[in-house]
Amino acid sequence: YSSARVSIDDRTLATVIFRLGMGGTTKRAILLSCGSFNPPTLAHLRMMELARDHLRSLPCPYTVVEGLFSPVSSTYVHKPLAEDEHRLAMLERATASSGWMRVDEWETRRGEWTRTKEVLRHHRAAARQRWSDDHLDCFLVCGGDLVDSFARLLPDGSRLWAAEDVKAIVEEYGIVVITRDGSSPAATLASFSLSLERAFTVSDRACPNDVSSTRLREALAEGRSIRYCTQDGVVDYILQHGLYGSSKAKAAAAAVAAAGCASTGSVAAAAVAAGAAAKSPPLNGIQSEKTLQNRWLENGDAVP
Amino acid sequence: DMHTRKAILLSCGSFNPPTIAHLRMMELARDHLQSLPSPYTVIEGIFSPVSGSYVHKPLASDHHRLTMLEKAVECSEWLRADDWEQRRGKWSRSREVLHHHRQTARHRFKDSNIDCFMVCGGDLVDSFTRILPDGSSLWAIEDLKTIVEDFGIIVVKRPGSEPSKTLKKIGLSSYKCHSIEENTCPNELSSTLLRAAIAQNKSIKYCTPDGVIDYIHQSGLYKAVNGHKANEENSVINNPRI
Repeated sequence: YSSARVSIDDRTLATVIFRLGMGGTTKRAILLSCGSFNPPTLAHLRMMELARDHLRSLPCPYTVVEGLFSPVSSTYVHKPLAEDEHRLAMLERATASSGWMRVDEWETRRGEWTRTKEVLRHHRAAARQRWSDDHLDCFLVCGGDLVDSFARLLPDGSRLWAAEDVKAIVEEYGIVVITRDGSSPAATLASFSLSLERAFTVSDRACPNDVSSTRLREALAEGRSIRYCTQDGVVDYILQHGLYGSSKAKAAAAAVAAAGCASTGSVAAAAVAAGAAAKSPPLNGIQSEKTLQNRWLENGDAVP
Repeated sequence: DMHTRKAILLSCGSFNPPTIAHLRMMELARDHLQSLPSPYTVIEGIFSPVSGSYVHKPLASDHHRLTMLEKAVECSEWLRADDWEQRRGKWSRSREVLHHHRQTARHRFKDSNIDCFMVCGGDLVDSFTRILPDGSSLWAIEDLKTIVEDFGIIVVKRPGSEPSKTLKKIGLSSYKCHSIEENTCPNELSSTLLRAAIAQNKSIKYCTPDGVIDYIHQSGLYKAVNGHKANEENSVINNPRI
């Protein structure tokens, strides 16, 4: 930094004055990201960085002390996910090079399905204790699709999310929504008549992207590279363990190379068919117990 | 066809700074060639940063850009950075860089049939038909013919664009032109956006490999100086080699 000169702009000056007024301390916050992370992608990681940048640059800025990825347990989600241990291991590798983000397994170890509000409650309490700070805030970081799902109605007309849960998440904890194309989650939130003081919308101006776990799984099933779509350690882990059909795709590619040109089309197609995971709607876990019960009953499974 | 054909890939540009989009382009190009009905084996991918001395826009120094590229490809088994273009001491046409690397590869791997493809974005192909203010073509047609028909190009295009149409317009054959789309990690990442983020003290983590980020911070690159952005460029393509 020796040759860079820093100029004080208005916002920096305002922040300095604010912090002096606060006795030199800013409010602390932790960030929580919930989901399947099946697998974790560049987008998951960018979301946290953006949320942190945003909270740090508010007129009343936060010091973000920690970012947590809390993967849902595959036992309680009605779609095929890689096992908990794999997704935890991938998140560990995804966050290895970060000085402030980590994976947390409280949710996976609970032995029962957990509402988002509960995960927030647990982590805020734990952090308040750890930092001896009763005012430490815990924000949920998520994509626009999660906020869209707040308004979703089930086939029977009931709400996917309990209204009091949405209220708690948005008003008591707070939410940082990362969106593309300036789409506005505010409209959905407004329909709940919520105070939006703790609701922030951010878009990724540095790296606008549409990467998703679904796209990565498709690429892996088709034997295509996912390098640079997620951290190297995650890519290596997936290939080592042959997750998401990558071993079948690899075997198919090897067979093609051995056999020469002739049967390329059929072998590759077979690999895609064998490895392709069923597509499911991009919902980050099911939010109401009633929904979970209904879905299991629909499919004839016993309710646990 | 007992032996697959071999190829190397070449990516030219400023890399000011290198981003994961540059890296993704190479991965996509390799995937594509290796899954053709008559597939290639891609033996290496080369990033060749332009020398700043011959480009009319402010770039981070040759040394910085080369080092950032080296850090970007550190963990890759097949990608590398090359400084032949920078060390030449004169301005290089794309076709000369292609020729040099194909020669070198054919010699090194003892295979006189190794192909060398240029990997680029759709914006480069769009520039093929550009006319300068004085009425002359930006690109010499014989250079384009060499690049497109002798060497071959792999274009990572935006959805909806058709590079083969541009080539047809200028009378070039598309037989060695491969158009591919980024369907796994669609993004609008660019060096320009990264420089803007750095100047605004915004996080660029995960937009480029960690080694590049550490290097940028250690060297103080792209920081805003007195409220003005350092190394600002006005257009995506300012003075390509022709």
